[in-house]
Amino acid sequence: MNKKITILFFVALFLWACYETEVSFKSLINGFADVNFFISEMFPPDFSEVSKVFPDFITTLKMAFVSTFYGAFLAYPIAILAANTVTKTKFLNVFFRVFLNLVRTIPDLLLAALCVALFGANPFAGIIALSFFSFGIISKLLYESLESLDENSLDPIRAVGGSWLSKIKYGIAPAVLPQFLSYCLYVFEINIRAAAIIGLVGAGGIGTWLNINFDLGQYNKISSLLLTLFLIVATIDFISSKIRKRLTDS
Amino acid sequence: MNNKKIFLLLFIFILIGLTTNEYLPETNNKGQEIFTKILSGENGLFNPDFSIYQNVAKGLLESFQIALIGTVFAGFFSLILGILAAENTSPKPVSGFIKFTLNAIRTIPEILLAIIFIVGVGPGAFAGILALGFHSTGTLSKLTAEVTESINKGPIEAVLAVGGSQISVFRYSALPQIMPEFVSILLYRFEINIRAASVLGMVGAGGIGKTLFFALMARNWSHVGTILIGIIIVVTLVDYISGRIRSNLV
Repeated sequence: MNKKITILFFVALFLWACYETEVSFKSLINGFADVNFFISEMFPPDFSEVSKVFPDFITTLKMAFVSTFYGAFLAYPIAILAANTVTKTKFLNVFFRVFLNLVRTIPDLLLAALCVALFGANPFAGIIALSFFSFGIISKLLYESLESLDENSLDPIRAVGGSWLSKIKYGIAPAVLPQFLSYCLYVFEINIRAAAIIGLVGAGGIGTWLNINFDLGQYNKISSLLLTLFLIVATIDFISSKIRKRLTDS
Repeated sequence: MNNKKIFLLLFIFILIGLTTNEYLPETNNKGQEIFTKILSGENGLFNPDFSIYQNVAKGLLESFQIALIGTVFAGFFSLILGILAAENTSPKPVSGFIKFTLNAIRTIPEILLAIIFIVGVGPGAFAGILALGFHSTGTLSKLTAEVTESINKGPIEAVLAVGGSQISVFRYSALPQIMPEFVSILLYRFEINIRAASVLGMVGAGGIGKTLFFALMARNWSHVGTILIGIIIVVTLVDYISGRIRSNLV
């Protein structure tokens, strides 16, 4: 009975939402020709400009790399403060956890739009936005793995009278290092995609060219940029997932 | 990894970080002035203007609806595609082909899909729904296929042993095993989609992003502040509720 009411509630919610947002498959079928035209305009891709904008691909990669680094750098101490296995002050744990949850609610594109407003339309704004974004993800993942650490493994350090800092240096840091590096790589993969997209709101990198070509209606150039981007992303994903596997296996 | 290697890595990272110096905006007093004006000025981010709460609430509701419908559509298709893509429930060529297609779908960012669908059905919530639905189908189907591949064979053999047909095998042994995990994945995707739905409006796909876009364009920081608070509240609520349901499920 209870289950039926729940299902009925969700069906009603869904139908109401469909009604409010004017879901109509007629418009989708009618619009199919337009989408088809749009996509056919993208082919064949025009690769003539890819070499010209290649420095911007490098910029996008650099943005992703540097912001992962900054994010990780900030995330490490915060994750230590948020994990209740390492920091025994309940207040600090709760405070930083709430803070991290708030940080993660803000979507990357929104952060980028805000940073562009604050720092101007350049890669620097993108780096700040992505650093903040990576910081949120890495610290969340890291404090969760810190909490899954076996507390008994820290006992020897406590037994010889080690301080809080030596507990971190000899007990925790070596234990979570592989996981930490693997999270950083994972976030780097996310950041490359994000760095390309946030250019659409002016945060530099290859997204700027996507935006320009959209405005000019040069769809075949867009497809060439996207294909190159996919190639880069796929290569890095492949390498990074290989490294991650080795890190977590050993 | 010993200390020497770590320091070497850090050194290289910092060097790469230094090469992004060229992106640093010029520092002058005017920049600082703008900065403080945007953040804490009379019309700044930290002085949210709550008089537009009706607009913000409407936008947030629309974003919620976009995420809901998009996730439900994706859930419907991914249950079918996921089972077709699983190696233990469908023939090898079919599963291989569907897996490949899903991988291709997943590489297209939501924002780009939104732009494509706007061409088809015009700007508005429906374009956002289609974009989220399409992208989520890619990710959800992959996860559903993984869940399907990990199901226990015992119940399937039990149904077959009492003379059940293929359909009753699916209905009474496979589906009950897949369902709890599937709902959990679906809720997790909903959490991601609510974030995505709040920025899709920036390219014209409806929801709070539209309101945000206009506020950003008009450099109306107090409105941006209000919208930001609204997004943070909604995302936090959704995360909390969905987290509770998920921990009950598994």
